[in-house]
Amino acid sequence: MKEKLQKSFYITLTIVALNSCVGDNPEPILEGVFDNGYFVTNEGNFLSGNGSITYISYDGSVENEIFSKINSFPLGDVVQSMNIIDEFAYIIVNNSSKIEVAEIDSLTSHKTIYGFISPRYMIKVNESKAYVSDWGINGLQIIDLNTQEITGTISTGTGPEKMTISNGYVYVCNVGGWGLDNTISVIDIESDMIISTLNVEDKPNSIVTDINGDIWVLSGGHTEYDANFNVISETPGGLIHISDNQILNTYLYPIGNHPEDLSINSNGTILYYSDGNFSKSVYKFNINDSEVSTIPFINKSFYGLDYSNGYIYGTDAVDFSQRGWSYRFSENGNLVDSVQVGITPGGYCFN
Amino acid sequence: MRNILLFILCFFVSLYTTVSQTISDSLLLPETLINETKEIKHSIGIRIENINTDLITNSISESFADFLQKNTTIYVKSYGALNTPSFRGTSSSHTLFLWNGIPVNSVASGLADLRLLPISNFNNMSISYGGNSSVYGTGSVGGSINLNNFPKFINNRSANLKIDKGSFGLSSSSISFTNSNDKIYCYGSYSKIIDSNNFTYNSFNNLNKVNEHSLIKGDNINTLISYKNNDDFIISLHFWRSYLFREIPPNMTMVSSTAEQVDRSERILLDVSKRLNKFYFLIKHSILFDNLYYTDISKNIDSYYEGESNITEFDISYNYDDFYGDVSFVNNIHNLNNSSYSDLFMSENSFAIFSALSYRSNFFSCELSARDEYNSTFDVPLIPSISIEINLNNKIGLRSRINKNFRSPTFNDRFWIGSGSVGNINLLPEKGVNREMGFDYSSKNISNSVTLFSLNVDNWILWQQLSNGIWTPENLKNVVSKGIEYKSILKYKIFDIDIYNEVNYQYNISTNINQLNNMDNSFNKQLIYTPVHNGNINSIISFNNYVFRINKIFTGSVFTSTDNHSKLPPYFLFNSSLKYYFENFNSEVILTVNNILNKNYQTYLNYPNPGIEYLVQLNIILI
Repeated sequence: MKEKLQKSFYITLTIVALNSCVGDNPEPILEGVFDNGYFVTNEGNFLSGNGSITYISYDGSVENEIFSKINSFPLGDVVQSMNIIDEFAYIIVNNSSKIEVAEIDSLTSHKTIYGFISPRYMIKVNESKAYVSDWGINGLQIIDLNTQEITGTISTGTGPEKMTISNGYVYVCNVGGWGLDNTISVIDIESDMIISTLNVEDKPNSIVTDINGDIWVLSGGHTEYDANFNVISETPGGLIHISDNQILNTYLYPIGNHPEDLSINSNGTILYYSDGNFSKSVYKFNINDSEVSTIPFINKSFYGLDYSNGYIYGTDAVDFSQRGWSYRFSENGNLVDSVQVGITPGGYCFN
Repeated sequence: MRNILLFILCFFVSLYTTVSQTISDSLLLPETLINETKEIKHSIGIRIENINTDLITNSISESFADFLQKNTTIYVKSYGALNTPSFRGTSSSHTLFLWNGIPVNSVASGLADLRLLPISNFNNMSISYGGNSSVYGTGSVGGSINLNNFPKFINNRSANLKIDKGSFGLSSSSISFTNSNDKIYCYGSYSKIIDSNNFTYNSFNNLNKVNEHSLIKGDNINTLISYKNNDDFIISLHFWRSYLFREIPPNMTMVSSTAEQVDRSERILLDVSKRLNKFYFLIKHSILFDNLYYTDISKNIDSYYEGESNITEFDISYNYDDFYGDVSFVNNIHNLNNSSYSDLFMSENSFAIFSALSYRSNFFSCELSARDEYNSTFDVPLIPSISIEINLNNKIGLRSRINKNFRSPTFNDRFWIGSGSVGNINLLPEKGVNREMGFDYSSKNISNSVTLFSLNVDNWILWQQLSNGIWTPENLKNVVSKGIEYKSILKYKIFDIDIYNEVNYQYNISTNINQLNNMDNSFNKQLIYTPVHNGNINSIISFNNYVFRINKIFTGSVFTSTDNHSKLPPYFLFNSSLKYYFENFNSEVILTVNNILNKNYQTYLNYPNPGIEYLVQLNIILI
């Protein structure tokens, strides 16, 4: 695999210019530098504080550790996820218990939001409010997007993970955190109250909204071992279809498989996810299908998987202690390109 | 002040002065051993260093980590609340700690945590390089550190009080006594330490931050009672109790930490030895209680492990002229309660036979040894070793050894179970082959030692995340470590000033030779946290009641990613101490300044170390 590392003139110019004025409240030099590409969040090594983000432009240029190069300080310990909301990038740094807020035009640091314990994912729920799932409180932290401060909390199930929004409600996967859970919390955005809790298969880890406003949840299933590591009980993973806050259908996976990383295409009609046991592959599922496919769509195991604008993206963390790789595939499953990114690449953020 | 300046001047002048007379032996030579320990007995062909107790400031607050950094080429990582050693490119769990010949590494993790070892607790210490699994079994792959308390059957009655005060909230004190004659030896010591460790460091963007949540407090009790009769019969009872509470500090990128750890251990060892004509018999029995409690309120973690080990050993040695034969039988029983294991209670036992045949004369020595071990849960390979030493004359010696080593998968490796991580009961023991040869030159005033080594470790255990997202250990790496160690001592006297200079240097290339797949860029790359260049210089100048010491440390850059893309910068540290002995009060005062140049440095990514640090020590001889 050929490494594609061509320095972007504009990004380099920005970095050089901003580095020169570190500590002087740097102003954005160029606008729209990060318009034409996407970001990879690299977790780094737990307790080493070397999490980072990579910017990859669609013309193929790659800039690793872009945040620390611009701001002269590292993002921190376990960069979990990143969202672009309005004119800001919100970078969630899990084990540093914070969100770094940066101006999206320049990635210059704007603010650090403290007050989290183990933040995971963020979702904008209306013009002035966002939710952040936080394993440390088994709930959501409410963020005021104007002040960029925590204004309240909402208790959920154990280990709230990814979220999606539909018809005025936020649906939260309670994956279990450091334990076990099997519920989806349904929250009314207006009142910040839980209006329903749906039971699904064990360990719901990812969730999307389809073209009809219906919700699709992917549960990984749970395995228990005895003293000799024989499996003493195992529950299956499942793909759950929710409509009008009711479970319509559940498609079960073979025992031993642990599907994860559900994403959906731009039209909201085709789901993509990873499935398998010790080694995984990518599968796809049309929302009108009546059963899950057993034939891999992309026969490769990824640490992180996502979809954006006609492409499927997957990461390879190699040994989790060196720079990993990001692969881009077309909707036909053909490899388009691959680039070297940061240590333990786990997720994506699309502009 | 004039005296101090005079000493400094003399030191620099002396560096350019030719060798003159010898310095007093009391400063330079390790104490004469009453018993020949196993590590000495089976040290033919290897590099073993007796720790010169004069290089230790005799401080109860000086940790083993400080000592190893200042006086050896062993790389010490400081992160969180841990200090761990790395010999010849291996990891900390490849270092074996032996307390009077009994392994005291954590049975759960295999880890050797230097923070748990106050250096002033022991009256004899040595470092063996290259591993010695044929003698000691699992864990001695990179090297071993031997901590001994020897009885000295001489008429002596003494008591000491030591008080230390230092920067960043350091306060420690100890009291010890010895009462002995030609038949009985009694020793006891109690020490306690509290250290806030709240130093200020230079963080990102030049901001100063305080190293918070890093309090350490603990105490240690050590006792030894020995009896010896005229027939070379010795019976000894050792006891060592230690308690250490630690706040686990966050790294520089974390907002805060609420993690805390308590280590509590009690160790009892009874040994009985008897010499009968040409035979020597030794029976040892030890009971080790090793408890660890780890809590993190914010992450809702409340975990523990409580271990109990019973180790019984029976040694028979036979000597005929220059020939020596040894047979040892060792039985280990380990019982563990661990909140993170698949079954809360785990038990394991092993039985090993070690035999050695050696020939020792003034000019030529050699040894052939082997260890066979039966373990209740996995197969252990046969561990042989062959070694040779030639003394060409009284000054020049050549040595060489080839030996196998191994490390069993730890209890954590096999039985751990938690959210997102499970142990692997099918792990194989790590296997190592150590080859080394050395050249030693020593005269009255100079000694030089060069060691070439090559160490292969197969089946290196590494925790790795699988595609299903679960972390699990596997036998993944094969590592080759090669290098050169150099040690030089130069001692001389100018007028009444004794000068001692010591240089230690290591060149080490340690690479991973197992490629996971064609995207793996760690193949043939230097292992992380393994400096290629590493060394230190120690100079001790003594004059009348003054002892002035200068210590310089150089640690080369270390990589922090396996593809060698990220690294920590090299650093140079400068430490110094001045000791003055007050004859009228029978006491001494030591002023130590560490990191005089106030360097910012890291031994582990994003964990800061203190800048300039002062320590005042008062040692009072009560009796």
